[in-house]
Amino acid sequence: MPKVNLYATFRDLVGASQVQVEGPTVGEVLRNLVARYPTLGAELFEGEELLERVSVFLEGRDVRYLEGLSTPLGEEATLDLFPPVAGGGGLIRDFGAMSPWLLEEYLRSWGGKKEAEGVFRLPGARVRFCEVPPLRVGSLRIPRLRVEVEGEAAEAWWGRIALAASRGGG
Amino acid sequence: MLGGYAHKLARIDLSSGQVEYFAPDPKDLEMYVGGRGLGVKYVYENGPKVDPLGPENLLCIMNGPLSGTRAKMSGRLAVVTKSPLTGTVTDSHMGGWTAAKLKWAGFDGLLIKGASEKPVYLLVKDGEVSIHDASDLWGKTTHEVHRILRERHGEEADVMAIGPAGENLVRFANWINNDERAAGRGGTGAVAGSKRLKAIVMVGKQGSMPQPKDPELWREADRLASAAINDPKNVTAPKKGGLSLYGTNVLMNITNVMGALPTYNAQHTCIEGVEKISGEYIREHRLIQDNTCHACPVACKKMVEVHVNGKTIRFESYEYESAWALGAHAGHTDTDWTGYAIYLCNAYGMDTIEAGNAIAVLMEATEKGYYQGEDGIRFGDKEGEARVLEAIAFRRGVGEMLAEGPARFAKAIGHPEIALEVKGQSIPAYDPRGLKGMGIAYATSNRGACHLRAYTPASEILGVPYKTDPLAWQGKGELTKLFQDLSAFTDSLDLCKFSQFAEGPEEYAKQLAAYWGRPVTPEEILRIGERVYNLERHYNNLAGWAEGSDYLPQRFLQEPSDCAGSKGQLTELDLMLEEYYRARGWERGVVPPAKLQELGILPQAAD
Repeated sequence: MPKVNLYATFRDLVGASQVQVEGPTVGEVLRNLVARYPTLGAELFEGEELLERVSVFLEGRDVRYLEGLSTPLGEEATLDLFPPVAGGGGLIRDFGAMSPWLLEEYLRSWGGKKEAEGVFRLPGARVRFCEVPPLRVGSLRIPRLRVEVEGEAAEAWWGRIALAASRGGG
Repeated sequence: MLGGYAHKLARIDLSSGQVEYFAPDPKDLEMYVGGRGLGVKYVYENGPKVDPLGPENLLCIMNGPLSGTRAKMSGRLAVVTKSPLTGTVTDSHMGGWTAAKLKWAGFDGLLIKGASEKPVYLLVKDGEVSIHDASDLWGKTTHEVHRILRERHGEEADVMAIGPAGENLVRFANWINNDERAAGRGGTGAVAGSKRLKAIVMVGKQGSMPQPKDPELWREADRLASAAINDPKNVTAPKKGGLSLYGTNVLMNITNVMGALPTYNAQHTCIEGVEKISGEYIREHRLIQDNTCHACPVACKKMVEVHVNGKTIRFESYEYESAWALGAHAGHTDTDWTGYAIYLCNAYGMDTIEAGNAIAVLMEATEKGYYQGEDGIRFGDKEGEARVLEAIAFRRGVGEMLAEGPARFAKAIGHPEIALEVKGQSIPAYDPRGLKGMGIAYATSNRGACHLRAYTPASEILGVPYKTDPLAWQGKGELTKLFQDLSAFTDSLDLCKFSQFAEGPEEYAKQLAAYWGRPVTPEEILRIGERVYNLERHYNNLAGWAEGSDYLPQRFLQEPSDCAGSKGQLTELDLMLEEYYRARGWERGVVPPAKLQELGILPQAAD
C-alpha cells in the first residue's frame, strides 16, 4: 500500500508524519487521504484540481512534471506531501546542488546549535534538513537537500538560507 | 589598498603608439570589482555613441581580483567593448591561462583605443606593454598565429589572437587563445580587426601570484569552495560529476527530449539522431583528452579528433552550443562534419553560435526561395556549410552579407522574421517554447540573446537552486533577475559559470573578503551584480536601446513547438516582462534615474 509522508502543517492536521493510503494513482490516494482526514480537503484541492501552492513528490519528483493526479502508483510507492513554501506554520524547499555538510557549515557560522542529525536551533527558529533522492536528468545527477524552517523568526532565517543556497550555473 | 589586484592598467592608443599606465580608482574596484564590471564602467565612461568599428571604441581586456590566484575556477578573462553586432555594451569571456598570465605580467587590464595603420600585436611582460609589427601574421588563422608567437616568445607565453574573420570585420568575429578557448560572442574580434590588432601575448610567471590580505580567512574560504566543487555528489566533481565527464554537451540529449532544442532554424524543437553529437557519444567515440583551465579541477574541456574527407583533425572543444549551432540547428547530426565546422570557426576566429545561426538562416532562406543565389544551401548540406563558413570569414559571395550577422542578412533579403535574434544577436541552444525562462532571459539580456546572463535551465532542468516547471512562465522574471545579478558578479571576479553549480554567495563573499582584506557579505555580492547589470542597461538605453527593446523573435510567440515535451507551447513574453520589470524597478526596459542613484551609478540628487 502506498505511503504518504506529511510535512509541517499537514503533519499537525493528520497527527502523524506518515500514513498508508490505498489507491492506484496519486489522485486516488489523495482523495482517500481526504476521506480519512476531511480537514485536509481545503488544504489540498480546489474542486477537482490540486492547489497550485501544494507540492506532491513521488520519489523526489514533483508529480506536476509526471502525469499529475493521474500518475500511477505502485504498492511500494512513497509520496511526500508539502504545504505551501511560504506562509502558514513552516517554510520548506528542496535546494539543488546543496549538501548537508555545507548547510551545517552555514548554520554553525550563524551561531546555530546542532540538536540532532539534521536539526539545528537558531535564535527564534529550528532548521531541519535531510537529503532527498538526487534529481536525475540524462547523465546528470544533482544532489538535493530538503530544508524546513519553523519558529517565530523563521521568515528571516529562511531568507538567509535561500540567499546562501543561491546557485545559477551556466 | 584592496588585495588581489596588480593595481595597474595600461591605456594603449594604437593611433599614436602611446602607452600610459594608471592605477584603478579604489572606489571603482569596490563598486565594480574587475572583469566584466570594471570593463563595463570604462566602456560607459568612453561614451555610448561611439562607432563600434571606429578608432574611438574602447576594447577592454580584463581580469579580476581572483585571477591568477589559487581560487578554484578563476581562469576567466573578460573582453568588454561596444559590440559591432548589437550596438550594446558586450562582454565575452575565455578560459585557459590568459587571465592569470595577464595578472602575472603585472596588469588588471588593458584598455585599447585608436587604430594602427599597419597590423600590430601587443607584448605584455614585466609590467610593460609594447607594440610590435604583425604584418607577417595578417591573414593567418588563429592556430598559425598561436604557433608563431609562442615560437617567438617562448612556450610559457599565452597568446590570444583574431583570425581572418576579425581582420575582415565579420561582425561576430571572436578571440581564440592558444588553449583554443574563445571569447566568443558579440564580435569583439571585429573590434580588434578594426584597430588592426592581430594578437596579444602575455608573458608572466606564477611567482607573481597575488597573495590574500587575510591568509587565515583565505584558508577557510578555499577549504569550503574546494570541498563544494570536489564533493563527489556534485555535477562538478572531477572525473565523477556529469559536467566533468561530458562537459557542457551533457545537455544535448536532455534538451532534445524536452522539446527545447531549436532545430532547422527553430522551425522544430527536436531532431532525429541527436545522440551522435551528444556529450555521451563524443566521450565514447571521439575524445582524446579532458583539458582544463587555470586552477580548475573540473576539466570540462573536451579535446577531440574528427575525420573528414580522409583527414584527421584534432581540436578543442566539442561544446554543447557549438555542436547545436553547427549541427542540429543546421538540420544534421553528423559527428565529424559538425566537429569540422567548429574547428573552422575556431581557425577563422568566429563565434560558433552566431555562425551556426547564419548558416541556419541561409538554409531556411534558400529552401523558402527568399535567397536565390547559386551559393544558397539547404538544411543538412554539411559540405555546403563548411564552404559558407569560409565564405563568411573572407566575405565572399553570400558570405559578404552573412558576415554582417544573420539579423542584418534576413532584413536585407526582406524576411527579418527568419532571424532568431534579440538586439541583433542570435539565440543559443535553448528553445524558449520548451524552457520559458530562457524567453525572458534572452529578451532582457544586455548583450542580445544569450544563455549566460541568466541560466534559467539551472532551475528548469537541473533544479538549481530549486526546481521550477520549464513550461510555466510564473516566477521566471524574478528568477532571471537573481541569476543575472549573480552572474554579473561572478563575471566580474572573474570565475567560471560552472562554479555556480557548487558555490554561492557565501563562498564568493568569503574568497573576495580574504583577498580584499575587508568584510564582504552575500548581500553585497548581489548588490554589486545588480549595479553592473543596471549600468549595462543604462548604457544601452543611452546607446539607443530604449523602450520596446526587450523582444523575442516572432517564431517563439506565434509558431507552436512541434516536439514531445513542449508540443503546442509558445512563449508568454509579455507576462514575464511585466514580472521582470517589477522585480528590477525599471520602466518598460529603461532604468529610471532613481534606480541609478540608489545603486550609486549616478550621484544622489541634491535636496
